[in-house]
Amino acid sequence: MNNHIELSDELIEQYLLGELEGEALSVFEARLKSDPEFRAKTEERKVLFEMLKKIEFQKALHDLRATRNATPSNTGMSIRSVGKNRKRIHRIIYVAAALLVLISVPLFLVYQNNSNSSRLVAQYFEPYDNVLTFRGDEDDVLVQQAMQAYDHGKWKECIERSEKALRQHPENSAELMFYIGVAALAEGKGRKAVFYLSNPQTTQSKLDFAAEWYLALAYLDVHEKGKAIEKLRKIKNSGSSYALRAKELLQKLN
Amino acid sequence: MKNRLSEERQLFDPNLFPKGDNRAITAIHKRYANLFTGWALKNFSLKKDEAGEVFDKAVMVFRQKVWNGELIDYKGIAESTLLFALAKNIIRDRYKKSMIYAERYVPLEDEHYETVAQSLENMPYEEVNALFSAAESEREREVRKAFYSLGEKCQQILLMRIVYGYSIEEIAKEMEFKNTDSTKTQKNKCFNKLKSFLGLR
Repeated sequence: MNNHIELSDELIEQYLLGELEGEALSVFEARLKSDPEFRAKTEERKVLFEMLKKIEFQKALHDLRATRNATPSNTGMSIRSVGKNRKRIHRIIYVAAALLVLISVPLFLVYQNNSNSSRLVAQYFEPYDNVLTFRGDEDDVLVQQAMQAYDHGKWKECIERSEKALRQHPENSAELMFYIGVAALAEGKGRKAVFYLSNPQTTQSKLDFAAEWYLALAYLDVHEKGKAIEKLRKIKNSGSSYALRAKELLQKLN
Repeated sequence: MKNRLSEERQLFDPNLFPKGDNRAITAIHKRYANLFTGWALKNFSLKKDEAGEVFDKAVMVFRQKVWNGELIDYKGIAESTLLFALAKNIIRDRYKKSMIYAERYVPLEDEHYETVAQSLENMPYEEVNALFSAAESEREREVRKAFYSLGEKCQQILLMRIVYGYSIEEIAKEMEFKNTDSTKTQKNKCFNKLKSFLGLR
């Protein structure tokens, strides 16, 4: 019976993916016409496949939006003009230019270092999947709304709602703090991410490996490279699913 | 010049955008997002958020078109031109929907962009439009929850088979399974688990 069900599942799958041809396709289509139950099942699978497609699409969108949030916005310089004494202005410009060179070289080096960190965070950051389950009671509503915002990449809203939920029910808050940390990182609020992800409750929760990984990224985001490296080394040796990524990131940082 | 051209030739090669690996598309998004926002604000009076959304959609359309092999004919055209042209068409459609097309739409000064944009107008993007809708039904929420309750491996197998249309042989190779039989068994187990979470037969 089970084999029969799987066989029919496979056929439907092949049909929906456009893999059935020739006689097999004709037989399938004939059965669709004559067997209402089979037709209903095929339709049901089609809807499920479309939903899975949407889930994948939303995940890819998350990736893009996370990158945008981590991209530093363009900066512009305004130029003031007009002066009566040209010579004086020129002198000021020369002095300013000299000062600018003196100041900007070390600043540039710091900026380059920092922007390298930001680039790496953007490259490696990916929102953690929402795996929270709900009891369905009233207390859960706020958390559900927060996680709905999370699923739609509305990081700010997610953080606000989660923090509210946290204030109301500080108990059992480890997982919620983890998601606030991830949302804060996506929102570009590295300090907040460090605050929540470094909380002992978070790092000792069942999401501990993930929390360590996101904390390493958060440290990078706030340019605390030493702490990030320390975390990444720990993850690399932990044998967790983040070990390879940690190793790769460490190589890029060194 | 030679390097630039070879980069562009590669750009529209579907192999460079493997399904299930969003790093290449994310890198493109990152490279041009700010540039596009400035360009859109200047040329189309969009708000920053709107420009961001348009660009997200343009990149997703780009991804779909590359996967479908529809951009092969655009070899030699800079990736930014193609992306901006796609985005321009999306903006045009937004204006049309809000009935302000005639007042606000201005053809681009840059003829090159305009030509590419016009050539892309006949390339529909309904598929991405449908997926872009933010509204989520109760059932969709259930499916998403059920899907993410599966292990990472199961999620990957199901996406590869159902969303990306990989064959069992391709999945076996990609995920380093021993053989196609064990891949098929694993795929069926994952699908059955998903069905049981959703109460499907």
